[in-house]
Amino acid sequence: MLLIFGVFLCFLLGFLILVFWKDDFRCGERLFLSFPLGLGMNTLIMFIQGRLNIPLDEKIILFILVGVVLFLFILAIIKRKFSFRSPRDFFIWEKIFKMFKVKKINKLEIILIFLLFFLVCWSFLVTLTWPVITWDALSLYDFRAKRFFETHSLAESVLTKGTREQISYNYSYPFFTSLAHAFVYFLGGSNPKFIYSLAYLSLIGSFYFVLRRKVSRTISLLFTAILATDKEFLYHSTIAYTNLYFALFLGIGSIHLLQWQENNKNGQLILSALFVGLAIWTRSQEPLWIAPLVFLLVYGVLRRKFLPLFFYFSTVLSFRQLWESYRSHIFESLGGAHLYLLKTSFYFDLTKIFLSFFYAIKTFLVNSEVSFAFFILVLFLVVIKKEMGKYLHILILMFLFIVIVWGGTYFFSLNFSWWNKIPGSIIRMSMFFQILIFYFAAIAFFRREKKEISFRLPEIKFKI
Amino acid sequence: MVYLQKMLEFKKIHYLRKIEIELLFLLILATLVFNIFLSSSLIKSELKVLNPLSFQIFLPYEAKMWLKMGFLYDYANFIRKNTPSDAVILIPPQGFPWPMTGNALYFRYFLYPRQLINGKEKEPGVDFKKENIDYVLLAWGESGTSEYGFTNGWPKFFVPARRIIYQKNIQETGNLEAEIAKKDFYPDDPTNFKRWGLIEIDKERR
Repeated sequence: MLLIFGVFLCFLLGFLILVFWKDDFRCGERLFLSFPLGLGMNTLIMFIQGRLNIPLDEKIILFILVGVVLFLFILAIIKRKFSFRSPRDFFIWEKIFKMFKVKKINKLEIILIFLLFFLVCWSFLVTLTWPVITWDALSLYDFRAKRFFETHSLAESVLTKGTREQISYNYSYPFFTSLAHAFVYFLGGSNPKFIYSLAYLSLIGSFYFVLRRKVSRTISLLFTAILATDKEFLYHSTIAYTNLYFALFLGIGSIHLLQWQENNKNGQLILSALFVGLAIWTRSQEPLWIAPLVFLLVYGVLRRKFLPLFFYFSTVLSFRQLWESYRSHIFESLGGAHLYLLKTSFYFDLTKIFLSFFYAIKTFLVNSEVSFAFFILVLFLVVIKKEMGKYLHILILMFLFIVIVWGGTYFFSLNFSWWNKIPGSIIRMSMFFQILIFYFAAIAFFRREKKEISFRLPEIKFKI
Repeated sequence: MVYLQKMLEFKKIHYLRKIEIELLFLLILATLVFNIFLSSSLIKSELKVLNPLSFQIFLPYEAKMWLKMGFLYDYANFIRKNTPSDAVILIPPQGFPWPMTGNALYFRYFLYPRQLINGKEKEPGVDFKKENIDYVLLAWGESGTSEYGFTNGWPKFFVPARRIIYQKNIQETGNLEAEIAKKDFYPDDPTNFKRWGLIEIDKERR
């Protein structure tokens, strides 16, 4: 019971953050975005709580969480984000009915909704049945969660013991999923895997709504179904790895950034900054977050939008700083640099540049056959039809992501002899890119041409 | 096409031709079917939990772990049962045929707070006294595959032992019964062939 209350509070936390920009999101979209956002923020609060040496136990965690939720609730009332005239208006039935009153649904849509419903139920069935069992989840994420639970702290006394490889491994990824697991344990739960099904549900819902802004309901549902039936996403909704949350945060965060450029809705920019920040809080090893930053830097400077640029940079980098400063604090307290296992170098090697390029393309793009086929087709179509200028923004962002993956693979190939023996990691990492490809394909194939919305950087003229 | 145009909510002529839109729409539908086909084996395999004959969904935690990990889960429990929580245990080198028992970071999940240290295949690789080793794992190997030239059966070196605690009937679910032999450990002793257990080090002779 306490666990259900805790999960609801996380949801409420995310919902109340988004309510401040409620005009920028549809109600359904806010519902789907709320849980991952709230869970991410709650784990950050728990992390700060641990850093301040406030014991991590269920009473204090819930007390702080309820406090934050109440604070946001009161703030939202003061800012007139809720407009009740009488307590009876709290249940604005008319609005609720209106929300569910949708346009006539066609047969295809009914089938797709049932399919999505079935997949989500299937995912919950699996996660509620099987305990945490997969390799990395046992060796790191859930191991740390159990230690947080036992020690009522960030478990430094445990995680800083052992060989230097063990200590370094313990701090190789930020605490997001571990603290999320610990949250479940603190509230009396024994199996935290359902949070991955909730991530899957959020991904499906938020992808649908983000696409719905650009394409029809049928097409939006179709592409959402393609994403939801992808084997990689389906599998990751049932295991306790970080990749699904990472894909959700980075993929959906990037799309909101792209849409912000078209419609200037500040809520989308803020959500994008928070999601990209949370992607760092989930997996900090891959510097993929640089792509949205570089992208926004170019856009912001050319369009002279310095305030959004400053806000975005400060938000995203503060997430990174929060984790990196803690990690370096731990390593320095243990004697410093020897705990950074990666003694690396960077130099020019033409052979490796080519080899790493082909390897990165093969594992990052080609391995996900369906999305790769879409990518090639959509590129072909927009080039042939001379529509490239319209999609320049998304193409630039995707190009930046590919360059980072290639650069990372090259760097890896220079320093490790086994650099080309980790295809699984790159395939898992590329999940967020599939979200972008499906989004790109959907808008390039089926965008509603209500009005001509084109994006062109002022100084760049694209000609074919 | 009118129906499709309505469904796609196009207000005016799209940059793609009619036939192209129709083909793309069919392609999207085909992709969805293809994706469902690819994922069907994963979906079907996990739906077994609903099988009323096995009732996997209602099984206790221990049974679920056994179903997923096999005898290794019992072996981990056997070690927990037969060692104190502050024990220092020497485990096989990391690699096949000990992908799990030789992976200190993985196996610690089950044995924490015991400390696990990797040994070498044909020698301890550490000083028993200096590292304060209390136990050496007796691990045949959970895999038949070899890596780095390793072969099944560990340790492959002499261990001065106070006793060897063999796990009896390892294939029997939940059986943590022990068989104790007060003798030193010799790798070529045939009684150690295909056996699992623990070697308690004789601290005076280590």
